[in-house]
Amino acid sequence: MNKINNKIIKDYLAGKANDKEMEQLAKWLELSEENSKRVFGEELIYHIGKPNPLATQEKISKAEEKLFNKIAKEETKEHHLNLHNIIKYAAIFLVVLMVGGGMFTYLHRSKEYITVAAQDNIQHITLPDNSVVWLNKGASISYNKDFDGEERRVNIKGEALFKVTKNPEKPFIVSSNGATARVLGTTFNFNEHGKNGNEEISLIEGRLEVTGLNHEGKVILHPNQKATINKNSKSIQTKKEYTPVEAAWRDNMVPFENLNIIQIAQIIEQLYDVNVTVDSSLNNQKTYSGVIKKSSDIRTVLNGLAFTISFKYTIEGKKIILSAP
Amino acid sequence: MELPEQRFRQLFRETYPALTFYASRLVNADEAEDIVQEAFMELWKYQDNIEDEGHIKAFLYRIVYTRSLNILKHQAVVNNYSDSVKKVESLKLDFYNPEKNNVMDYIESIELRKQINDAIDELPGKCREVFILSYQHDKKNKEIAEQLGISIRTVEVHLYKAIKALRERLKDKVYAL
Repeated sequence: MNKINNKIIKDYLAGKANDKEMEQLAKWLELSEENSKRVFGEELIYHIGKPNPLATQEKISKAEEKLFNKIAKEETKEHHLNLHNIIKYAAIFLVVLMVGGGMFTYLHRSKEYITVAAQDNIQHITLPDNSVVWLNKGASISYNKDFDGEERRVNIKGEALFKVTKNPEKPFIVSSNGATARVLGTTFNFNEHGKNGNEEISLIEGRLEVTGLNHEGKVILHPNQKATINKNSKSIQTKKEYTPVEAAWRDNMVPFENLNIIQIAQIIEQLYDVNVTVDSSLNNQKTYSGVIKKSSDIRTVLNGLAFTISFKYTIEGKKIILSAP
Repeated sequence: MELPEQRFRQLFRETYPALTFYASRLVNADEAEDIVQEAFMELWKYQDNIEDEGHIKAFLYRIVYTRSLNILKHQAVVNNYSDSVKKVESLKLDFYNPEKNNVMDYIESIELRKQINDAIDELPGKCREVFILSYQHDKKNKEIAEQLGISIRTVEVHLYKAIKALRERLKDKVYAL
């Protein structure tokens, strides 16, 4: 059946095709993509020539006003700082130290020290050099009031995210009982996170030197690397990871840029501690950019992604499979 | 990149007609308007992720396409279409996938619009008159018959001839898709 009665196409284009004609049309269209292109191409051209009732000057102006009202509303909402912008700004690092009680190592210094602690909320502090720190619940930092001296030193307990102002003359150093992180390059991100009592530091952007203070040694981190300082085995290990995930506690946002479906699946694995399989039916050449908003229900995130990337998913316990819709 | 508001507004006005046209090829007029609003909202939110202005249109078309798809998936369940209608609809959706076919170029093509208009202009007198009333002014056959003082049957014959002539005339355009 390589030919089709012209009348069927005409009836379809006129919206007058009956059931039997639709059946024949469907069969014929399935035969080749050419057939599909021919019929739908004609349909498209037919409509292109018609005036678009949605595009009168009046409608466009109304739509424009509506859009900019929405944008204005959105902008006045409590401003969630986009992590993406922060990365561009200067440097970010996130420090999570699993240290118990106890004093900071630098309290013996004679200069005036300031200590800031966050109790029930995430707290936002600007340091004397305009660097910004977000303290996670229960975290605290202390630092020299004016940041005078040759270095910018901050002591930390708990978990914090740092956005550091560039100043190559004056290194920025964050210390805990167990580790020191020193800004080396222009921008860097430091994430020190403690599972099993270890200290973990992950870098989002830039270069960072991490030193264990109990003879664990020293490593230089590159973006998307995480250093784990194991106090028991007295070692530092580095591991590749999508480090913006580590900072998601701050605003539940994980930005990503030019990642393919497999890399995005890895973010989901990290965020929800699940196992994600990407079926070969999905195109892994295409890349995507955007922000994942972490939600308590993994389905919300998957539905959101499926919206743009176009995949379907199945969840079985901790196993998730993504495949073509 | 960051788009200054002035540029963003300009872009909106330039792109809105083609984008609402594209959306209304897939969903109804109200839905099309909503989806295009959402697409521009997304553009505004994620403008930092777009490297240069050349990518903006593709970004907008992709969002319109995926959102339309979502609406339609839902409707197919609600409306309980017959299998062959569903099949034709799904092939049509596939055709409109901006990453598969150059529908975007077609919709944006000023040249094509001109060719269509030229082809209409070249229709013989009465035939053109009837066709324009039907096609561009959305008049019913009965209204055209009354307006021009001819029979409905004659209107039908004119329309039939017009469409036949135009299909012949624009055949190459279709195959160029």
